[in-house]
Amino acid sequence: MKLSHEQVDLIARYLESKGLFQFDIKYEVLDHMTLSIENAMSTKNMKFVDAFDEEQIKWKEELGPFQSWWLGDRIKGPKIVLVSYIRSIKRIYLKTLFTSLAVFTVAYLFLKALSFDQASFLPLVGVIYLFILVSMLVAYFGMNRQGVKTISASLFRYTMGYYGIWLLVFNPVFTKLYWIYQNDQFIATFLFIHIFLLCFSFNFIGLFMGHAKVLKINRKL
Amino acid sequence: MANSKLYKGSLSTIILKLLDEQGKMYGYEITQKVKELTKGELKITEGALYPALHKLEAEGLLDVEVAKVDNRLRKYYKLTEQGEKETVNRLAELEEFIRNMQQLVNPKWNIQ
Repeated sequence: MKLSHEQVDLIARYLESKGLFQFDIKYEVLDHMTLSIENAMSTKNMKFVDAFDEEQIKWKEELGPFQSWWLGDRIKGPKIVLVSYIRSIKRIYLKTLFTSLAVFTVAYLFLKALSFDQASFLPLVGVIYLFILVSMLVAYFGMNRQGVKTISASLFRYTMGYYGIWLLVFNPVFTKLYWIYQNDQFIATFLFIHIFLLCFSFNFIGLFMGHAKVLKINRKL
Repeated sequence: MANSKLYKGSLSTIILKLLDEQGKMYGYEITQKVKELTKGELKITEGALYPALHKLEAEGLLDVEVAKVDNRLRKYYKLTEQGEKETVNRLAELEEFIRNMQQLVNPKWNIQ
């Protein structure tokens, strides 16, 4: 027994009432719920309303409110979405940390061996940070204008805020923090921070591409 | 899931094995197939299935294909090349686990 267009729409609106707006998860859950309800109506001879009620109970935990310290107090939403955010954020931070450590080790030894004056690089780092900030803002407004919410776009927006602040705080163009301390320990710390921030920026490319991939799927509808 | 703690660690192996046999499947189809093969004994909940599928996709073991069916979108999962290799590894691990459990719990059992 196939559900009517209106019945499928009702399920879609229910999912939105639960805070499930991200297209990439929403269409998958909608398909599952629709099939499950159709199956219940055919095999158990249930009415749509009763089958829908039963389905809502099955999905209660996954669509229920959820919070995690990984995301802080600001981010709330259905569990199925937030678990996806947390998995992505963990992967982003761990990948960036390990990459940064590897690059830092090589860079530090290289610069030490050549007795390079890192201060000469700082203006270039500052310009790169500004370029990253502007690019992120352009990408963010571009994604927003398309009007399709995705997990990748939500993560982009969430991470951009904190990352943008760090780019400004550690931007050598604006801050003279680096100049105050000239000992080896602080130079190494700042070198690691700059490498981490630069490595982290690549994640935004991945998130933007992830959003673009889902937009392609959306066009099939 | 019946005896969920016993099955919990095997869910991704179950998914990989099914996809290896069937080619491509969507989420609801996977739950129904498992229910059918275990004669209703094992029911995969939505809360267990989709995080497992998304994790396998993020690890590069599954690829997705989206098709338009009945005026809505359906997401099919299939194994990548890496997924096919990983399936073999995980099935071998599971087999070893079953053999060891058999020895520990009841050597008289014979799992064919």
